[in-house]
Amino acid sequence: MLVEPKDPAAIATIQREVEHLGYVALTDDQFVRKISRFYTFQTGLGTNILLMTVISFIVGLSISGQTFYTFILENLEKFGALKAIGAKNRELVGMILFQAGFTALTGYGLGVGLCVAAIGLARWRIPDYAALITPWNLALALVMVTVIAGVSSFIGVRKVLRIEPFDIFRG
Amino acid sequence: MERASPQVADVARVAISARGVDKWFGQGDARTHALRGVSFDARFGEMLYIVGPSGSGKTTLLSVVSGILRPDGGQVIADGQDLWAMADDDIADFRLRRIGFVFQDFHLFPRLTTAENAAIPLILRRKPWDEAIRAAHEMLEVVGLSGKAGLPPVKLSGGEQQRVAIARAIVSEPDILILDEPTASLDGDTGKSIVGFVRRQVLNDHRSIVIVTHDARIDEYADRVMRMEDGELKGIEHGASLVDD
Repeated sequence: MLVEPKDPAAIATIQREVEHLGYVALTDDQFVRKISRFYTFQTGLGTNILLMTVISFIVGLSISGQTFYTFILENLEKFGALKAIGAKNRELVGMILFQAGFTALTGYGLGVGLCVAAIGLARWRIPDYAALITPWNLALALVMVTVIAGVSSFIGVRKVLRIEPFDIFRG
Repeated sequence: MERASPQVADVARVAISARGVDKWFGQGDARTHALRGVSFDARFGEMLYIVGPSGSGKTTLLSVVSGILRPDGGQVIADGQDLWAMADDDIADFRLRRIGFVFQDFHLFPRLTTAENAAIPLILRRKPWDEAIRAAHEMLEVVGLSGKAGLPPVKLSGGEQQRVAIARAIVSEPDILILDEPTASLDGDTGKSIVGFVRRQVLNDHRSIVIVTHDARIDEYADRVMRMEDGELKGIEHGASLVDD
């Protein structure tokens, strides 16, 4: 049953009266929260989504870390040559961080773009399809991408800081 | 034949002066004395070779006098400055501005064009990009590769890649040029022509060139030859006298 109180201040009183009758009265927000909580905690959907997110994060971290580390290993001699020529450690670290940051932001942008496109496509095929990317989602994804880029570049930075230009001469 | 002991040279003409340079590697029983009180001068306007068998310490010596490897004892004066008294960043800056390096394996960047590779020292010196590329084009012209400035290094022959490495080394007009086994990755004729080219086109009165080499075929281009053995300087000979012998 849908009712609309004349005065919003009466909502609490109405809810108490309805509760005395053995029923539950909910506002729009409370209803949405209740449904959301039901699906999140009582159907296993929330746990599955959380697990998928964690697994995606770990896989993303592993793949990007591995890729970045391989890139650094392949170019270690080049970094050593740059050091020998006169590049300073902080300049090399700057290069690596720029590369990691640029790649991460490009990936983030592509990822968000793909999600928006997928939602658009779904809405086009299923008119009532409900999906929403909130600013909170975007911020969380950005933090995760930043963590992945940070961890990946940290491994590379350590390797590059350790290479001695003398190693280039020694072959 | 000159003496192996420290020489008294015309200070104004000395590019690198090493005195009593010592270097140890490893620890405990594995500790080796890589350089044993080596002293020598490299002069402006000359091509000095450092020769000797593998493990004799020539690459270690080259690294010490070019500001790459810190010695455990002794002093290196390069271009009038006490190299190892400087802070690490200042040494890196000194290398960038005053020393040009040509590595055995070239170490060119495969994803950059030939001109971009040659411009690297200027880019590290924060020269504007256009200016750096223009200077690199001029250097590529000097080394005879002006038509290949837009190609990646993989499209070039070994000799051409070495020329790009030389262009990179001299693009910032360094006073000291260091070449580590410059002919090791090249066939005999190409190696000889490269070193001959360096002698004719790169050496001048304001530049000193120090080369580590095993290659006897390029002996004719040396002004002086330093012989190293077991970390010791065994003697310095005039290049011309070697040819006479």
